[in-house]
Amino acid sequence: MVDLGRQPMKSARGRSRPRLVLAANRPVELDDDVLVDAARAGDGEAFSRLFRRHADAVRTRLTRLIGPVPERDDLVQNVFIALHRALRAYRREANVSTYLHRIAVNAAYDHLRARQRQRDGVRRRPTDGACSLDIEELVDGATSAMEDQVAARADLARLLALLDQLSPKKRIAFVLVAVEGCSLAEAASLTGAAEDTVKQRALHARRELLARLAPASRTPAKADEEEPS
Amino acid sequence: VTTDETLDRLCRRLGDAKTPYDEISRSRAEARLDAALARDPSPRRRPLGSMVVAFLAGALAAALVAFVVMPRARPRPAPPAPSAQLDVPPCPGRP
Repeated sequence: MVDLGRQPMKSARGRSRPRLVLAANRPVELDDDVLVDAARAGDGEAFSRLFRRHADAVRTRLTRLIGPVPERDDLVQNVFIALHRALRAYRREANVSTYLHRIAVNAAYDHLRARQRQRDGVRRRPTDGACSLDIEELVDGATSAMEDQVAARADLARLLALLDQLSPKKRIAFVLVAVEGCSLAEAASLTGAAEDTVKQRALHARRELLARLAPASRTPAKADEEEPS
Repeated sequence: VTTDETLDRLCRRLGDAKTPYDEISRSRAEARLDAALARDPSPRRRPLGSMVVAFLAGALAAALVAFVVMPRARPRPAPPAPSAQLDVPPCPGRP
């Protein structure tokens, strides 16, 4: 069992055994692989540490991929449950973080597919089946000025509405490459697709977004009227 | 401002957005995860007993198919056609 920096155990003589070099109150920064080994051996604290270390990054990535929908936290939980189940099969071909984000991207894809099916069920109206978004959470209210916050809120709402009209595969490729700045190799590794495929999806998505953005940016009022009912 | 620049600006906005957990929601999420993992310890690892039972059930099913179902389903050889010529032995007194 790996020692994870908890309180040192007292020996029979009452002296604490020097199992750790660092102070007991300070959490020891252990490598992910060490934590994975401990979690495989059934150490729940090790898995909790993995969660605390990676949960924010997973949540942020999911937010960018699917938007600030209320189901995000459930998805984060599902991602970590899936990681826990997959620990035995984990072969260290990629590091834990990449493995975890691969699971997260798959979860985002499944969620977007389900949302798309739900939307198709209500006859493809852009307003029907739209999920409730918590855009406030995305805007940094602490540091930016009020005007910037308003502009950021409008921009984010606009982009998320545009992204909602893309197919899930194109959306994921576009967000990974254009929004998060992943290389094609990274995006391909995360999606499990070939680099050329990811490139094509991202390009098509960009073209679609530009085509939708062009009339909307000229006459937003007219664009609303022209939407098919 | 071109649409390309607008799209790039929108993408930057989303790229800058970070949504970490706050302390309360993080501890709540951690507690939920712990509870979920306690219900679902490691479903991929089947206990040895269930694997043995599954193997025996499979072997039994295979034996049933091989020794009962297949022989019945196999086509039986057709019975010999009745001969048109009667093989009557000649009477001893006749030529």
